[in-house]
Amino acid sequence: MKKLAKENIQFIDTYLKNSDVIFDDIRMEMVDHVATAVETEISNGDLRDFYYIFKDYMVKNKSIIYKQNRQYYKNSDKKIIKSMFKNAFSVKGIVIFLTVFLSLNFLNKVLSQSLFIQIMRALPFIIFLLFAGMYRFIGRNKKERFSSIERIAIYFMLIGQILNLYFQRAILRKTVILEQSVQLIIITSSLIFVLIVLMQVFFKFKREYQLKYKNVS
Amino acid sequence: MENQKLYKGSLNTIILKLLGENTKMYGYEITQKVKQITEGELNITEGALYPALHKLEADGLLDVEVLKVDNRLRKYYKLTEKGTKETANKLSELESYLKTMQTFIDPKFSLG
Repeated sequence: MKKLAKENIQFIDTYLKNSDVIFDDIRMEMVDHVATAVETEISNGDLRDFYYIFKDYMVKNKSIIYKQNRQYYKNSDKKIIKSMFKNAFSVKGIVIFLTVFLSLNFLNKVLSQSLFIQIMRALPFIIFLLFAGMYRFIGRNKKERFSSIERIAIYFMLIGQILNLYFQRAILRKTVILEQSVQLIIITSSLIFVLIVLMQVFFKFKREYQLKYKNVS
Repeated sequence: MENQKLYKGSLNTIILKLLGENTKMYGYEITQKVKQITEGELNITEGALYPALHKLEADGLLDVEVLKVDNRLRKYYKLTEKGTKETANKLSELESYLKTMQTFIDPKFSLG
Protein backbone atom coordinates (compact mmCIF):
# COMPACT_ATOMS: atom_id res chain seq x y z
CA MET A 1 0.00 0.00 0.00
CA LYS A 2 1.30 3.47 -0.90
CA LYS A 3 2.11 5.49 2.21
CA LEU A 4 1.52 9.22 2.63
CA ALA A 5 4.49 11.56 2.93
CA LYS A 6 5.28 13.34 6.18
CA GLU A 7 4.02 16.64 4.70
CA ASN A 8 0.65 15.06 3.88
CA ILE A 9 0.30 13.78 7.45
CA GLN A 10 1.23 17.23 8.73
CA PHE A 11 -1.39 18.75 6.42
CA ILE A 12 -4.13 16.47 7.84
CA ASP A 13 -2.99 17.27 11.38
CA THR A 14 -3.04 21.03 10.79
CA TYR A 15 -6.42 20.81 9.06
CA LEU A 16 -7.99 18.96 11.99
CA LYS A 17 -6.31 21.28 14.51
CA ASN A 18 -7.78 24.28 12.70
CA SER A 19 -11.16 22.54 12.76
CA ASP A 20 -11.22 22.58 16.57
CA VAL A 21 -9.91 19.09 17.16
CA ILE A 22 -7.63 20.62 19.77
CA PHE A 23 -6.65 17.63 21.90
CA ASP A 24 -3.54 15.80 20.77
CA ASP A 25 -4.72 12.34 21.85
CA ILE A 26 -8.05 12.66 20.00
CA ARG A 27 -6.50 14.29 16.91
CA MET A 28 -3.68 11.76 16.66
CA GLU A 29 -6.20 8.95 16.24
CA MET A 30 -8.24 10.93 13.70
CA VAL A 31 -5.12 11.74 11.68
CA ASP A 32 -4.24 8.05 11.47
CA HIS A 33 -7.79 7.14 10.50
CA VAL A 34 -8.04 9.76 7.74
CA ALA A 35 -4.51 9.02 6.47
CA THR A 36 -5.20 5.27 6.28
CA ALA A 37 -8.50 5.91 4.47
CA VAL A 38 -6.71 8.15 1.92
CA GLU A 39 -3.94 5.57 1.47
CA THR A 40 -6.55 2.87 0.87
CA GLU A 41 -8.19 5.05 -1.81
CA ILE A 42 -4.83 5.51 -3.54
CA SER A 43 -4.12 1.77 -3.35
CA ASN A 44 -7.55 1.06 -4.82
CA GLY A 45 -6.49 2.95 -7.93
CA ASP A 46 -7.39 6.60 -7.28
CA LEU A 47 -4.67 8.42 -9.22
CA ARG A 48 -5.61 11.96 -8.20
CA ASP A 49 -3.40 14.19 -6.08
CA PHE A 50 -3.50 13.67 -2.29
CA TYR A 51 -5.31 16.96 -1.68
CA TYR A 52 -8.29 16.03 -3.89
CA ILE A 53 -8.69 12.60 -2.30
CA PHE A 54 -8.38 14.13 1.17
CA LYS A 55 -10.89 16.87 0.35
CA ASP A 56 -13.43 14.35 -0.93
CA TYR A 57 -12.97 12.17 2.13
CA MET A 58 -13.48 15.10 4.49
CA VAL A 59 -16.58 16.34 2.64
CA LYS A 60 -18.08 12.87 3.02
CA ASN A 61 -17.01 12.12 6.60
CA LYS A 62 -16.42 15.47 8.32
CA SER A 63 -19.54 15.47 10.50
CA ILE A 64 -19.03 11.84 11.55
CA ILE A 65 -15.40 12.44 12.45
CA TYR A 66 -16.14 15.56 14.51
CA LYS A 67 -18.91 13.74 16.38
CA GLN A 68 -16.34 11.64 18.22
CA ASN A 69 -14.37 14.79 19.11
CA ARG A 70 -17.41 16.13 20.96
CA GLN A 71 -17.89 12.94 22.94
CA TYR A 72 -14.49 12.90 24.56
CA TYR A 73 -15.65 14.54 27.78
CA LYS A 74 -18.04 11.75 28.74
CA ASN A 75 -15.23 9.21 28.75
CA SER A 76 -12.82 11.66 30.37
CA ASP A 77 -15.29 12.25 33.21
CA LYS A 78 -15.69 8.52 33.67
CA LYS A 79 -11.91 8.04 33.76
CA ILE A 80 -11.37 10.90 36.23
CA ILE A 81 -14.14 9.90 38.65
CA LYS A 82 -13.15 6.23 38.52
CA SER A 83 -9.50 7.08 39.23
CA MET A 84 -10.49 9.42 42.07
CA PHE A 85 -12.56 6.71 43.75
CA LYS A 86 -9.82 4.15 43.22
CA ASN A 87 -7.26 6.45 44.84
CA ALA A 88 -9.56 7.57 47.64
CA PHE A 89 -10.48 4.06 48.74
CA SER A 90 -7.01 2.57 48.45
CA VAL A 91 -4.85 1.88 51.52
CA LYS A 92 -2.72 4.90 50.54
CA GLY A 93 -5.86 7.04 50.29
CA ILE A 94 -7.11 6.00 53.71
CA VAL A 95 -3.66 6.67 55.23
CA ILE A 96 -3.60 10.14 53.62
CA PHE A 97 -7.07 10.98 54.94
CA LEU A 98 -6.22 9.79 58.44
CA THR A 99 -2.94 11.73 58.40
CA VAL A 100 -4.72 14.95 57.41
CA PHE A 101 -7.52 14.38 59.90
CA LEU A 102 -5.23 13.51 62.82
CA SER A 103 -2.86 16.41 62.03
CA LEU A 104 -5.73 18.88 62.16
CA ASN A 105 -6.95 17.26 65.35
CA PHE A 106 -3.49 17.66 66.83
CA LEU A 107 -3.43 21.35 65.87
CA ASN A 108 -6.81 21.76 67.52
CA LYS A 109 -5.38 20.44 70.77
CA VAL A 110 -2.09 22.36 70.85
CA LEU A 111 -3.11 25.72 69.40
CA SER A 112 -5.31 28.38 70.89
CA GLN A 113 -8.86 28.28 69.53
CA SER A 114 -8.61 31.59 67.69
CA LEU A 115 -5.34 30.62 65.96
CA PHE A 116 -6.69 27.17 65.12
CA ILE A 117 -9.82 28.64 63.52
CA GLN A 118 -7.74 31.08 61.51
CA ILE A 119 -5.62 28.21 60.19
CA MET A 120 -8.69 26.12 59.39
CA ARG A 121 -10.21 28.99 57.46
CA ALA A 122 -7.12 29.57 55.36
CA LEU A 123 -5.59 26.11 54.92
CA PRO A 124 -7.95 24.57 52.31
CA PHE A 125 -7.75 27.73 50.24
CA ILE A 126 -3.95 27.86 50.38
CA ILE A 127 -3.73 24.19 49.37
CA PHE A 128 -6.27 24.76 46.60
CA LEU A 129 -4.28 27.71 45.20
CA LEU A 130 -1.04 25.73 45.42
CA PHE A 131 -2.47 22.67 43.63
CA ALA A 132 -4.41 24.66 41.05
CA GLY A 133 -1.23 26.65 40.32
CA MET A 134 0.79 23.44 39.93
CA TYR A 135 -1.88 21.99 37.65
CA ARG A 136 -1.94 25.18 35.56
CA PHE A 137 1.80 25.37 35.07
CA ILE A 138 2.69 21.68 34.81
CA GLY A 139 -0.42 20.29 33.19
CA ARG A 140 -1.68 22.95 30.83
CA ASN A 141 0.63 23.37 27.93
CA LYS A 142 -0.52 25.15 24.78
CA LYS A 143 1.71 22.96 22.63
CA GLU A 144 0.39 19.68 24.01
CA ARG A 145 -3.20 19.35 25.01
CA PHE A 146 -4.59 16.06 26.28
CA SER A 147 -8.31 15.56 26.77
CA SER A 148 -8.42 13.98 30.25
CA ILE A 149 -5.82 16.35 31.71
CA GLU A 150 -7.72 19.42 30.48
CA ARG A 151 -10.98 18.00 31.78
CA ILE A 152 -9.52 17.95 35.31
CA ALA A 153 -9.82 21.76 35.23
CA ILE A 154 -13.62 21.38 35.60
CA TYR A 155 -13.11 19.51 38.86
CA PHE A 156 -10.72 22.16 40.16
CA MET A 157 -13.31 24.81 39.34
CA LEU A 158 -15.99 22.81 41.13
CA ILE A 159 -13.86 22.36 44.26
CA GLY A 160 -12.91 26.06 44.03
CA GLN A 161 -16.61 26.99 44.15
CA ILE A 162 -17.25 24.71 47.13
CA LEU A 163 -14.22 26.19 48.92
CA ASN A 164 -15.39 29.67 48.13
CA LEU A 165 -18.77 29.03 49.75
CA TYR A 166 -17.15 27.28 52.70
CA PHE A 167 -14.54 30.00 53.10
CA GLN A 168 -17.12 32.78 53.04
CA ARG A 169 -19.27 31.01 55.61
CA ALA A 170 -16.25 30.43 57.83
CA ILE A 171 -15.33 34.12 57.64
CA LEU A 172 -18.85 35.26 58.44
CA ARG A 173 -18.87 33.12 61.55
CA LYS A 174 -16.85 35.04 64.12
CA THR A 175 -16.62 32.30 66.74
CA VAL A 176 -16.70 28.55 66.58
CA ILE A 177 -17.86 26.65 69.60
CA LEU A 178 -16.06 23.49 70.68
CA GLU A 179 -18.56 21.03 69.14
CA GLN A 180 -18.33 22.85 65.84
CA SER A 181 -14.56 22.52 65.72
CA VAL A 182 -14.89 18.73 65.22
CA GLN A 183 -17.29 19.37 62.36
CA LEU A 184 -14.83 21.94 60.97
CA ILE A 185 -11.99 19.41 61.13
CA ILE A 186 -14.02 16.77 59.27
CA ILE A 187 -15.07 19.20 56.50
CA THR A 188 -11.59 20.68 56.14
CA SER A 189 -9.93 17.24 56.11
CA SER A 190 -12.36 16.05 53.45
CA LEU A 191 -11.76 19.08 51.22
CA ILE A 192 -7.99 18.79 51.53
CA PHE A 193 -8.26 15.05 50.88
CA VAL A 194 -10.32 15.54 47.68
CA LEU A 195 -7.72 18.05 46.47
CA ILE A 196 -4.88 15.60 47.15
CA VAL A 197 -6.75 12.81 45.34
CA LEU A 198 -7.40 15.10 42.35
CA MET A 199 -3.69 15.93 42.20
CA GLN A 200 -2.84 12.21 42.34
CA VAL A 201 -5.17 11.61 39.39
CA PHE A 202 -3.62 14.53 37.52
CA PHE A 203 -0.07 13.18 37.96
CA LYS A 204 -1.24 9.66 37.04
CA PHE A 205 -2.77 10.90 33.77
CA LYS A 206 0.28 13.04 33.07
CA ARG A 207 2.56 9.99 33.47
CA GLU A 208 0.24 7.86 31.32
CA TYR A 209 0.19 10.40 28.51
CA GLN A 210 3.96 10.78 28.64
CA LEU A 211 4.40 7.02 28.45
CA LYS A 212 1.84 6.47 25.73
CA TYR A 213 2.27 9.47 23.47
CA LYS A 214 5.43 11.43 24.11
CA ASN A 215 7.98 8.69 24.45
CA VAL A 216 7.00 6.95 21.23
CA SER A 217 9.94 6.63 18.87
CA MET B 1 -27.75 -0.44 5.25
CA GLU B 2 -31.22 0.41 6.49
CA ASN B 3 -30.92 -1.75 9.61
CA GLN B 4 -27.78 -0.17 11.10
CA LYS B 5 -29.75 0.71 14.25
CA LEU B 6 -30.27 -2.99 14.95
CA TYR B 7 -26.51 -3.47 15.11
CA LYS B 8 -25.91 -0.46 17.35
CA GLY B 9 -26.57 -2.32 20.58
CA SER B 10 -24.08 -5.01 19.62
CA LEU B 11 -21.20 -2.68 18.71
CA ASN B 12 -19.25 -3.27 21.93
CA THR B 13 -19.62 -7.03 21.56
CA ILE B 14 -18.43 -6.87 17.95
CA ILE B 15 -15.35 -4.85 18.97
CA LEU B 16 -14.54 -7.16 21.89
CA LYS B 17 -15.00 -10.26 19.77
CA LEU B 18 -12.65 -8.92 17.07
CA LEU B 19 -10.02 -7.96 19.63
CA GLY B 20 -10.36 -11.40 21.19
CA GLU B 21 -9.42 -12.94 17.86
CA ASN B 22 -6.59 -10.51 17.11
CA THR B 23 -3.81 -9.53 19.49
CA LYS B 24 -4.21 -5.81 18.80
CA MET B 25 -6.08 -3.66 16.29
CA TYR B 26 -6.39 0.03 15.39
CA GLY B 27 -9.59 1.91 14.59
CA TYR B 28 -9.52 1.86 10.80
CA GLU B 29 -8.53 -1.80 10.82
CA ILE B 30 -11.60 -2.64 12.93
CA THR B 31 -13.96 -0.84 10.52
CA GLN B 32 -12.46 -2.65 7.53
CA LYS B 33 -12.47 -6.04 9.24
CA VAL B 34 -16.15 -5.69 10.13
CA LYS B 35 -16.95 -4.66 6.57
CA GLN B 36 -14.98 -7.63 5.24
CA ILE B 37 -16.52 -10.23 7.58
CA THR B 38 -20.08 -9.01 6.96
CA GLU B 39 -19.42 -8.54 3.22
CA GLY B 40 -20.33 -4.86 3.44
CA GLU B 41 -23.58 -5.47 5.35
CA LEU B 42 -22.32 -3.70 8.44
CA ASN B 43 -20.50 -0.40 8.12
CA ILE B 44 -19.19 0.99 11.41
CA THR B 45 -18.69 4.75 11.16
CA GLU B 46 -15.85 6.59 12.89
CA GLY B 47 -18.42 8.55 14.87
CA ALA B 48 -19.69 5.35 16.46
CA LEU B 49 -16.47 3.34 16.65
CA TYR B 50 -14.12 5.71 18.47
CA PRO B 51 -16.51 6.75 21.27
CA ALA B 52 -17.21 3.02 21.80
CA LEU B 53 -13.48 2.23 21.91
CA HIS B 54 -12.83 5.11 24.33
CA LYS B 55 -15.69 3.97 26.54
CA LEU B 56 -14.39 0.40 26.63
CA GLU B 57 -10.95 1.82 27.47
CA ALA B 58 -12.41 3.97 30.27
CA ASP B 59 -14.23 0.89 31.59
CA GLY B 60 -10.91 -0.91 31.82
CA LEU B 61 -11.83 -3.51 29.18
CA LEU B 62 -9.25 -2.32 26.67
CA ASP B 63 -5.65 -1.31 26.96
CA VAL B 64 -3.90 1.05 24.58
CA GLU B 65 -0.52 0.96 22.90
CA VAL B 66 0.72 3.84 20.74
CA LEU B 67 3.27 3.08 18.04
CA LYS B 68 4.87 5.18 15.34
CA VAL B 69 3.76 3.79 11.98
CA ASP B 70 4.26 5.39 8.54
CA ASN B 71 5.10 8.95 9.69
CA ARG B 72 2.32 9.10 12.26
CA LEU B 73 1.25 7.74 15.61
CA ARG B 74 -1.17 4.82 15.65
CA LYS B 75 -3.26 3.81 18.63
CA TYR B 76 -3.65 0.07 18.99
CA TYR B 77 -6.30 -1.46 21.23
CA LYS B 78 -6.02 -4.81 22.97
CA LEU B 79 -8.12 -6.68 25.52
CA THR B 80 -7.28 -6.48 29.19
CA GLU B 81 -7.85 -9.45 31.47
CA LYS B 82 -11.17 -7.91 32.50
CA GLY B 83 -11.95 -7.36 28.81
CA THR B 84 -11.35 -11.03 27.98
CA LYS B 85 -13.80 -12.08 30.69
CA GLU B 86 -16.33 -9.48 29.55
CA THR B 87 -16.05 -10.71 25.93
CA ALA B 88 -17.20 -14.18 27.01
CA ASN B 89 -20.11 -12.65 28.98
CA LYS B 90 -21.15 -10.36 26.13
CA LEU B 91 -21.04 -13.18 23.58
CA SER B 92 -23.12 -15.41 25.80
CA GLU B 93 -25.63 -12.56 26.28
CA LEU B 94 -25.79 -12.00 22.54
CA GLU B 95 -26.28 -15.70 21.88
CA SER B 96 -29.13 -15.80 24.37
CA TYR B 97 -30.65 -12.68 22.77
CA LEU B 98 -30.44 -14.21 19.30
CA LYS B 99 -32.12 -17.40 20.54
CA THR B 100 -34.95 -15.36 22.07
CA MET B 101 -35.40 -13.36 18.89
CA GLN B 102 -35.40 -16.57 16.89
CA THR B 103 -38.38 -17.84 18.89
CA PHE B 104 -40.34 -14.81 17.66
CA ILE B 105 -39.22 -15.08 14.08
CA ASP B 106 -39.42 -18.82 13.68
CA PRO B 107 -41.08 -20.59 16.65
CA LYS B 108 -40.56 -24.06 15.08
CA PHE B 109 -36.80 -23.46 14.95
CA SER B 110 -36.61 -22.82 18.71
CA LEU B 111 -38.33 -26.13 19.46
CA GLY B 112 -35.59 -28.03 17.67
